[in-house]
Amino acid sequence: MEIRKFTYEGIERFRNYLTELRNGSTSAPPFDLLNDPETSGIVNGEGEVEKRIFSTRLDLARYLDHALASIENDSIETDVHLWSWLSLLYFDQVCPAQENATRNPGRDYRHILEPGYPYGHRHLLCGAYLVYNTYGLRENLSKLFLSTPLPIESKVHHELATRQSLITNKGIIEATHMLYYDESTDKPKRGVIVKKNKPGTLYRFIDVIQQLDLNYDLYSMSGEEVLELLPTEFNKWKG
Amino acid sequence: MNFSKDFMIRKFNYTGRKKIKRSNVRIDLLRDGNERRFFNISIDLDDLELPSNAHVYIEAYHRSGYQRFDYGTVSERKVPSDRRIKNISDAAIPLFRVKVVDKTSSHGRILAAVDKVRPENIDNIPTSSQSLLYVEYDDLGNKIWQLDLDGDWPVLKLNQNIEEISLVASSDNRFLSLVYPEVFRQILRRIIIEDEHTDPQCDDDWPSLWLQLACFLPGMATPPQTSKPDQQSWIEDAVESFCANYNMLEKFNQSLQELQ
Repeated sequence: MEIRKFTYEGIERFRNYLTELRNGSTSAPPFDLLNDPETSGIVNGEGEVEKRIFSTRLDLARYLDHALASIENDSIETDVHLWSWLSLLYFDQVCPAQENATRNPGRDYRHILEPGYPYGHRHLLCGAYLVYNTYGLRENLSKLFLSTPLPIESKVHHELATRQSLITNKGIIEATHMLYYDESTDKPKRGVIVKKNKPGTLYRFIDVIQQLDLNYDLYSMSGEEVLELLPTEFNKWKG
Repeated sequence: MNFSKDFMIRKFNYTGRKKIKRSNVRIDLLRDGNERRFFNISIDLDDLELPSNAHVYIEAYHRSGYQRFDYGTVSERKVPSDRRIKNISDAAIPLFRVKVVDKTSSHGRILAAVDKVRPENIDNIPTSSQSLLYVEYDDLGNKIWQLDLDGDWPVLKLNQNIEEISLVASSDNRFLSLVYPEVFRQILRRIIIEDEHTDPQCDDDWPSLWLQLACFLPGMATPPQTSKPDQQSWIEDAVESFCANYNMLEKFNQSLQELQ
């Protein structure tokens, strides 16, 4: 179908629906808002999206990267109206019905984009798109962040994407991939995020990197070079 | 001697890294013939005694956007011909970082730096680089304003969908008297209570500059160091002094009379 974006009315009605769900409603998603001219309008440029099933957030990001490529918008990642419309389109996947027909939408910003810090990256669709497209992690480096199903934001994504100085630094992201992604199983390694002070884990990695950043020009380094600076507590994760 | 100052919570510099004075950097943000943004920068590093072969980098950034420019070495500065700002929304004002890096070892070590430098001119219009609070316009849904303290510098966000919001925020006495004291309160709470920063002379970053503003208000001394209730009380005193200093009550009463 043609890509559209919500009007203010559309956003408010979608928001009201989320509130109803939190109050225990079992109503079906108001998909009629997607095409109603009072609640949605056209976007600049031509674009089509299908209502298809995605197995992971990476699948979704890859698909949206392609589908949104022809939208004429120099700040697509902050377009509240577009991302909210897309959220409703894929609502059965980002907020699936449970056995008793209720749904658990969580906070509004998971479905209605609140651009920028601190919630922009937590939008379930836009957050994945940011990692894949805007931060440019593409296929390989996105895997550590986006290997979860659509309704689930991984803790790795939560911890790294919220820190602009880390997520925008390719060398640091390469280092996290080398440390915490298991290429043999094509999955994140187990135990990456546990207690805050456990040696070698992601929380410690973030602390150490923030210290190193005061002394070293980390932006000029490759992932390998960043790994060389890490203390021995990270050795068991290398390799 | 101010006795309490000896016990202030300071941010210590353990890195040995030298600090480039903000006043030694000047950045102008301009547009070329095709309306594309680029920047000019002048940097004075003479007083820092840096190695002549250390490399100078300029970084421009805003949220997810980041660009880095190679300015040669301390002794042989070279200005890149392409200084266009890409990957940063045209509506946003990028901040800049200047780094001097020793690349003689395998891992580049930062010898001197300054961060969060704002352009002094944008499209040939001066923007007070000493401004403590920047204004941005955004889609805030049903909210009129929102204070963003999680970025690189405090930003008062105003809802772009309100007609003449810029005029209202700068000259409407009701807005000024109702909003700015709360902005002041929220900023001081963040600095003193959440970030535990109480030294107005510690740095030229925004927390110290805001503390300086508060401390210069009539009747205000430096903030208490430890007790949270005392700090809360000090913040309320600062807000009261701020309101008195800028005649907020009078402004508000006047605006009500104009309505009648």
